[in-house]
Amino acid sequence: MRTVGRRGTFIFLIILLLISILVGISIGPENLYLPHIVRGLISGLPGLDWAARGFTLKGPLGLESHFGPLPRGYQTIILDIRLPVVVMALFVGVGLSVSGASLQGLFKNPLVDPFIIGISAGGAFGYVLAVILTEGASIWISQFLKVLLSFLFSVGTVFMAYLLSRTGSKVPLTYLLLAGVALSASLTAATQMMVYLSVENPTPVIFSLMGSCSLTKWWEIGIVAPVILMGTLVLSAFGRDLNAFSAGEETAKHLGVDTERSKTTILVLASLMAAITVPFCGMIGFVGLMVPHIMRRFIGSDQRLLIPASALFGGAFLIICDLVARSLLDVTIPLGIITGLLGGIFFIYLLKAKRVGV
Amino acid sequence: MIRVKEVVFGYNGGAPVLNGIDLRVRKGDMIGILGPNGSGKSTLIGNMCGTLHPRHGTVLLEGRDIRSLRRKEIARKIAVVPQKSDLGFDYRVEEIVSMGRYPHIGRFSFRDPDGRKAVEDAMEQTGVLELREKIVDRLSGGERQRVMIARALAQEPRILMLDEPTKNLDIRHSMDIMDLIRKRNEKQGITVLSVLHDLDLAAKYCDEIALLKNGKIVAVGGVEEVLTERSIEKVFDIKVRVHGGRGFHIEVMG
Repeated sequence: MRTVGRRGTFIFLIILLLISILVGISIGPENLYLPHIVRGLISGLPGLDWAARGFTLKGPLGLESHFGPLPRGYQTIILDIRLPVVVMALFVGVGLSVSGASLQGLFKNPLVDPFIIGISAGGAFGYVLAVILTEGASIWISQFLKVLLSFLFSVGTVFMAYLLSRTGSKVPLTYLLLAGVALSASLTAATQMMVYLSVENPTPVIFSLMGSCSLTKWWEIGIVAPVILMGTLVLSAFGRDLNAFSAGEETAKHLGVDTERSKTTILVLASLMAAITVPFCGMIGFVGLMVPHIMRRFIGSDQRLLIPASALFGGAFLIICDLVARSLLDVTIPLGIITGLLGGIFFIYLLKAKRVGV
Repeated sequence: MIRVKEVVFGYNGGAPVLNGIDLRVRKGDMIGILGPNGSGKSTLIGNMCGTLHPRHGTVLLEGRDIRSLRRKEIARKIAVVPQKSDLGFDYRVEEIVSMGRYPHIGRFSFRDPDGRKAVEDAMEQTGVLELREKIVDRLSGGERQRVMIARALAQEPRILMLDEPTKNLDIRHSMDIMDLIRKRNEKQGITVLSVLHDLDLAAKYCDEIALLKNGKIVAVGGVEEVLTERSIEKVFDIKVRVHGGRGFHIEVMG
């Protein structure tokens, strides 16, 4: 990999991301062609509405090209149906991957995933609780409560794990990991109990929990995107701290890291980034585990590079996974099933390849 | 440079490991800390670099209570080479050495003008320049220890603390490591404080020795003054014959 160089890897990742965005918009029940996509996208920008209508481009030497209007409905398909789904998949992929890369560095453990410390189990619990509480209520109240409760329980679980593992003024990372695993197990059991006993029609609930980016609305992106952008920027600035943590907490202190403060900041941001995806897209496992792993093989372990690289690749990766989920069969497969399948295979590969990328 | 005053320390409310330690480290000293297993050597290092806080007593770094200093301020003055150095991931040598720049760079700055040179110098002084692209976890024990020392030197510290830097190394590599540390002490005037197990090695390289037993300093001073047949018998519970002078060495009698 060294022959390509890090700069080359980043250029490749950016191109990969752009291609996956275009392919993600292009493929669906009706396949769209690149010129139509580009014109559709341009027409969404303020003042550039003409791109969707017919127009003529005048070049030098009297050359002229005529463009007919976009086929009926294409503008809506591109701007209101496909683009929000692709953009949501992009942000969720970025959020989970950056969260995973940061947590792996913090815990000095390549098998950590944002969901392992209880984020998904908490989110699922809150979601099902909202479903039960709002039975018969209006759709808006139910929608609002689902988002609120699953987010609160996601963050709450991590916070709880944090409190449980605190000894004196310190929070040893191994305790935190164990507390997260323990809380996850209990919450998952409680969630299944609730679904089993109290939800009348469990199928849609189970489907939502399995993870999906389809039917995304722009307002949802308006909530998810700022959190994930902020988190990515700040965590990138913590790359040096994460490198120090990868050499152990004690060494991090020797190197001058204010370990308790850095730890809290990284943990809060990484949890928020993963938790914000749960109410809108359900549980999409293993992305936060796989993406940093793959990136480490290409650009090495330096967290200053690993975080931005994971962001780029994670975005592309989830767009492609979502594309597969909605176009592989006639019905839409939950996204979490696709990532789960890939994650399982990936785990076995890691097991067999012994220490590869670890 | 460092003044340890009546330090008492115990882990998590347990029995004290350090029972009233007094120690004065002067600029340019090269001090060896010796003592049997469990005598509190590593714990003393921990207290002196501020990662452990004494129950009673104080540690002064250049006249200021070390507890009042931020970790970054301490790390600009004291670098520590710990006994264990496991890494979570495959890091390359240069990446590890660059970590030593942490206390010198602001969080949101991406440039460290003096850093490049400090990292290069540290790698050159420790002889790991040609290993820079190698994965640290695949190096030999001696090479790995050099990398850890290079990281500490990249911190540009005034004081270097080492916890058994020659652990698990054969005699050749142990001497290479000690030569390298001594050279930094003589050329740059870095004050060195090192926990050591090998009495001969300590006698050969250190100016001063502090002998520890049961969390107390039994003797401190020049090599021949401290490493006497009586004190060694008292601390390590073995009979020895000390051959003084230029070829100073210790013969174990049983």
